[in-house]
Amino acid sequence: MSAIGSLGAPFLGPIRGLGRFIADSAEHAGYGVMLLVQAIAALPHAFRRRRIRDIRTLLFAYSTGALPVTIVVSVFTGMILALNGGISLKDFGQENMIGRVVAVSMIREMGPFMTALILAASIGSGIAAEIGTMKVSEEIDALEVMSISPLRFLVLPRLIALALVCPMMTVFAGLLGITGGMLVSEFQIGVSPTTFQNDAIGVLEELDLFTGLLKSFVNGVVIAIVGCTQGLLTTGGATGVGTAARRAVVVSFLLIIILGYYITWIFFR
Amino acid sequence: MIELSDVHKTLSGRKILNGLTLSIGKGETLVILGRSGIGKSVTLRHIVGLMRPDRGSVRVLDQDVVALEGQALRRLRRRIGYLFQDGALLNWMNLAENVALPLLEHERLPATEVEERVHKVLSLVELESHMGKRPSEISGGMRKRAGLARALVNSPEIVLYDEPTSGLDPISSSLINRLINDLKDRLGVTQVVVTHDMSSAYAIGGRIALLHDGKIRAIGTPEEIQSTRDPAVQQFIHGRIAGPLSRDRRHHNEDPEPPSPAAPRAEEPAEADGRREP
Repeated sequence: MSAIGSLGAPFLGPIRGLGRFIADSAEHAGYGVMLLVQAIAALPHAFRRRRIRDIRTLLFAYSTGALPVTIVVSVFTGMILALNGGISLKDFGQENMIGRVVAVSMIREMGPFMTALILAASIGSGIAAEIGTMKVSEEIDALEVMSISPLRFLVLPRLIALALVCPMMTVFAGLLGITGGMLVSEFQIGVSPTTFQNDAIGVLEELDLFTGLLKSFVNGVVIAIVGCTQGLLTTGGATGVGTAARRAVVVSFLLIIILGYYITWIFFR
Repeated sequence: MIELSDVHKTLSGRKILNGLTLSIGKGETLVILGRSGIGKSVTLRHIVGLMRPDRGSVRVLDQDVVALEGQALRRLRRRIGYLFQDGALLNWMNLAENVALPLLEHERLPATEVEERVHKVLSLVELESHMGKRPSEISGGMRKRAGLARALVNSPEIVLYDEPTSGLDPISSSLINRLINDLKDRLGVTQVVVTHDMSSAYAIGGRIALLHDGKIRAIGTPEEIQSTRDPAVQQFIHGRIAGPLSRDRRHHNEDPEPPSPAAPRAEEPAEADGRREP
């Protein structure tokens, strides 16, 4: 028996690790879904005066916190799209169509995706670290003992704030990206702002705007729930807090891109 | 008031509580002593419903904590104050906001009354002049005192203290001890104090219990505890390195009973003169 055990030992480590990873992932996924369901059920509590004040504070903190990065990233994304698309279209003499390329990309896909990544990296990881620190320093237990529900007190305001901030930032990022693309189109490709605007506005449909906003709303919910889940499941002190923050970003990225694909598939197949 | 009966709890494969039985009467103050990691905080967590026993029952204020959930558990917890080891204050709030939190979340009191009650409890722990500071701007000892102020602001019937004097200077320790005694003498609050600090245990008085091997090894008044012949108690109160408490816990599980049959026990009635024979 011991001989078999020693022969199998090198293989047991990775197998155990995989088993632990699968069990952890299933636990976190289940916890996240439960948290979302409970948060939806607790929505009426968000209209209490103290919670509205908390949400307002978080809205301000999240939007201002992510604003500088969003401005830079979205302007340059629009510029890159215009430059790449414009050069290719110019080969076919179709550079006047650059407006639609930039606008559709920014509104339908790049705006929501980019904003979500920025918010996941800056705000989502922050939520996981903040709640994780509260967990390891017994602050979550203290809330429970004071009969204050961490769901209503911590999760709900963060969920609502991010579900609102994400679409707002997406609209902002879309407009900035289109502006960046328009500037590059004029100075590098030789397409006038009027032509760019007419082409962009002419091709955009209500569905593009709707799906863009829907994606960003879903992304906001995902970032908040993943951040809170990772925070509330934190164990093991400072290392655990670091792991929670890292996991929050990785899981949010994965869910954002997978859900983004399915939303596009549902509306544009 | 508080009754734990045959409570068992295993955490990460290690038996922490192993048939713990403990009874604390109304208005009584019980000090629980024991080595680090022996299950003192776990005992407090069971009393307040933060942990559920694997087996056994926990009754607090005539309610079965194990069976309580949701609103019923929250109602019970509002009658209990809990001081955590490091205060467990919320970092984004100042001390006054932290202390006011239970009042603001649960009770519709006028702002002036909330302010008055916050002032009162903060002055009890001599932190009135620091009420505008955040937890990160004050020392660990002050955080602990602020945590105590928060635990008391709701005028609870039971207060649980997890290491109330560890890391405090002697003056602050005396202040906390005096406060615990005041709550006992003046308001008749039932209190459970978990500590390593022997001088604090003696100053608080009431009954003292030594937790070892997941159950109460000895219990009695400070005088009874000091005079008991149980080597485990003697080792702990005198801080000796060698002794039964220093052996591996696996060995302890095989030797859970104190050697002296007359050592004071939780379940035993007091002697006629009110003092248990060591």
